[in-house]
Amino acid sequence: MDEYRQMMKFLIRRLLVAIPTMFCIVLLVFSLVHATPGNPFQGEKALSPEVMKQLLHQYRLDLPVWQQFYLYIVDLLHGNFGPSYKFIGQSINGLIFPDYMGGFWVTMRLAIYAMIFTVPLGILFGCYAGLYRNTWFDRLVVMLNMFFSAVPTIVTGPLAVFLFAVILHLLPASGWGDGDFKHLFLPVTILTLAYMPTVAFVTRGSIIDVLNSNFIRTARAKGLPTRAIIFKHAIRPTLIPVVSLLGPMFAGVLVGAIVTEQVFALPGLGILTTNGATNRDYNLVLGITIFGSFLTIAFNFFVDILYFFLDPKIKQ
Amino acid sequence: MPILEVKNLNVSFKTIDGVVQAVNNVSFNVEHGEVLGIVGESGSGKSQSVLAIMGLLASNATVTGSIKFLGQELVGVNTKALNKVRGNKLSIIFQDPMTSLNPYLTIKSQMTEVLMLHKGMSKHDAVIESIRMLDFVGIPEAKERIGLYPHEFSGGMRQRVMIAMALLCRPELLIADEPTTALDVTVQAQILKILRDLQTEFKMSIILITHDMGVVANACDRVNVMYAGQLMESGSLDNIFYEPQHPYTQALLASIPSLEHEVERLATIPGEPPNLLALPDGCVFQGRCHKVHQECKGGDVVVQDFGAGRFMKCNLMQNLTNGINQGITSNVVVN
Amino acid sequence: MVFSKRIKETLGVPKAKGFWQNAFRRFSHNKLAMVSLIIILLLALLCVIVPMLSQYSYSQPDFTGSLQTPNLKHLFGTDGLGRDLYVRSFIGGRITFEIAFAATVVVLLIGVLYGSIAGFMGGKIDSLMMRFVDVLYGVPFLFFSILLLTLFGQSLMLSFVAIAAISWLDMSRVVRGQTLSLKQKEFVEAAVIAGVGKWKIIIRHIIPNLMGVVVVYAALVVPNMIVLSAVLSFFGLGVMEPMTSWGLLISDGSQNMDSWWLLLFPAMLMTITLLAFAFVVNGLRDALDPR
Repeated sequence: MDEYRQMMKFLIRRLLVAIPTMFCIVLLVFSLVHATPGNPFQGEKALSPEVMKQLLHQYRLDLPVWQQFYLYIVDLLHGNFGPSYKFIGQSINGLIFPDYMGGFWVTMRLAIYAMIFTVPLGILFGCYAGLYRNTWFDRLVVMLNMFFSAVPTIVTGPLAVFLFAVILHLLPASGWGDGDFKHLFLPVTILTLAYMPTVAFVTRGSIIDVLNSNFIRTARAKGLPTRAIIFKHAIRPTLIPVVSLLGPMFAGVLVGAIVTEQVFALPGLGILTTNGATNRDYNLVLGITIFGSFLTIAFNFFVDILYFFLDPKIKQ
Repeated sequence: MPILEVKNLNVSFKTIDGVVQAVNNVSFNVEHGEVLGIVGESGSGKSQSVLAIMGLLASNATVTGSIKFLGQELVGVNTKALNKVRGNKLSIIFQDPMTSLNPYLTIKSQMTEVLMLHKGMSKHDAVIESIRMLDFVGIPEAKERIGLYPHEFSGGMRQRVMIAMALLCRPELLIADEPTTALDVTVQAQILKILRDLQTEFKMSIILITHDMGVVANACDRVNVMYAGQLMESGSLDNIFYEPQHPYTQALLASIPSLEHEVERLATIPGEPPNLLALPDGCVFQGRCHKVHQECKGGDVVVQDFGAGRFMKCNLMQNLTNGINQGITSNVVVN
Repeated sequence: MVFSKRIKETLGVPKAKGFWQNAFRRFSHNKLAMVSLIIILLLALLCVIVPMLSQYSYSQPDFTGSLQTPNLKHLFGTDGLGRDLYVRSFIGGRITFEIAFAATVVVLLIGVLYGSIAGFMGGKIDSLMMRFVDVLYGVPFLFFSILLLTLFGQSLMLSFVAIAAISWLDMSRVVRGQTLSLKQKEFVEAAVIAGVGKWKIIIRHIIPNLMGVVVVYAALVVPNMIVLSAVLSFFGLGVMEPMTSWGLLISDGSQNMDSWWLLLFPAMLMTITLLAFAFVVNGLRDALDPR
């Protein structure tokens, strides 16, 4: 009961931070977009003043900015990102969450697959490297971290495609196919390789620190077998820095998934963002940015809850 | 038979700069029911020698010699055999109670696991026994507080928890590695009293490591004086305090502030301990000894055994006349 | 003057000269970092002189000699329009470096000022300023960059200045933390007691002593900006034809994998540069920020 109340208090406190943050983000990007001179319909083939006026009215762009903002927030609270300026007649919701396999569904699939491999394998490899320091495996973890945190997916991705698709003819070079193993193998692997070594490296450093700590010495002095020392005493403190890595990493994987989509020509949020950017569909880019921010903040919130269960000191 | 027999113990560490000789050919015994103090400055090897007994040295350490606990050899045995002894018949408490308890587990979980492991108790019985032990070391409301985490206790209270945890299996020998150094002076006295009380209650032996001669005077029966990894002098508390023979022991005692005599300046020992990477030839104390002479600067140092467990490692010949010993009974040359 | 010098000595104001000499000595003993630094300088030099000295133009198509495999006349081969890839790789490198350095300068300016002011002022101002940083952290960085490029797309440099204007978050956090610890130091306290103005303390005492961390971070920002500019090229944003950048070349190369040289040479140059920067950052961290 006490535990439950503590947790509710903690959650509410976190929510009181998360909600204003989200509001500020919306305010910031919204004003950035609307402070830009001109409107989205200029620059293309010249439109007659009547048509322009009609368009502005249709998209509420003739209202004062604060009113537009108010209406935008109201729409957002209803889960509505508004209309697209360029894909005539389409809503941004329809573009981000289409009825077919595309948009966010592709990106989410990719990100989730990558996280499924990244986190458990990263922790496992990191623990193993930290427990068996200075072995070849340990050195490999350190080297892979060095390489993949320096060289991004836009370099490793095309190189992998070149090797496995063009030279070895093992896998298709690009496309979603029907989401089958052969089409997803390379994108998921490249995305996993971009983030897993970091998780492994952080875990490795963390477990090395923990095993050198005084309380592990106490556990050894009590005569506990090695297994109990690692699984009961060492694993929680080892995971704490890893968990704090997960929040920013989720944002990283989400963005990484979009970049990977560009490399492998997958029909996800990436292509949508490109279309929005090159067609200067402000509302679409705005919607995707806000949606991405929402996911990031939501995931950080989730990580905070994890923290609550891992670290007893946070409860106070 | 002594509870613990340490013979020719050597501990060295491989480091980037070379081999550090932390403990150098140390031999001593701990008898049943006695409190043995080991004093020395930091770096004198006092902590490393007991960590060697517990098998808790860092992974770059090499141990040679013999450590026999209740007749069982501890040097070179595997972790599994060691784990049957430590936490059970042989326990240790550490200097820093703030970091020596696992901050992520409750006191209950950290205490009961010892009893469940070594005594095969059920969780229920282990909790009852743990609470009893916490009561014993003077933790108020132990029944409620056993479910708390270490950060919810003060430093002195945490050290009590550490002591309670170490005593759960009624060890034959408790090692206390500077148990009061990190604590306030008033708390220090309480902790020492608890140790003393428990020692008579449980009839166990204690090795008390400290750099504080005051703590030694309060708590110990016998004293080993260590310097630069070597045992310099050993004897009963009275021997060491009232008739110290070794120049180092004498210097240590002279540096204790006294309430009876007014002194203008507190005596200090000039100079610094030798570099453990490159010990000098001859006596390790030669650089700071005011009675140093030529033969101290090379060759072996004489170990003078005065009998009754009293000896010192020094070339100065002493004739003890107070009747404990009839002069020098034997000269044993080590190294 | 003499008086202030004496104060400096007694209060233990860090002697800047010795610090940098030590740092340089430690860095120069790190072979990997030194070699990497030389490689970076060499590449930068090539990026300047190759386009200047080459007989080929990076922009002029030559349809008679398109898609040549690497040969003695065209070391890296030619692209689909017959342009020399060797020249294009290095002009692309020049643009990439220019963007990265310009952005880094902006990041440094904003990050150091913002962080040191927040850290030094403390209290309400500090927490307000840091809340703002937290808000910006909530926006996925790439989306924000794309948004900015969509808005400022006409001017490449302006876009990157805008992107840099949102990339200083890490820098400001690090600088703030460092400032907080500097604030406790005796020489800053002494300056406060002596009645030296806040701004003067920030500029004279705080910022010079931050330089160690700042140099490490700057070396980290440059490769990040190189990567970002390349990633944006994959989204069709940033550098436009006929001008090129490493990102654009790799993007083109990945569309034409049958002509392997179009991908491999730019990818190789970029990999080498990024790894070299990673080793330099490691070396700088060990040399300047011994923790």
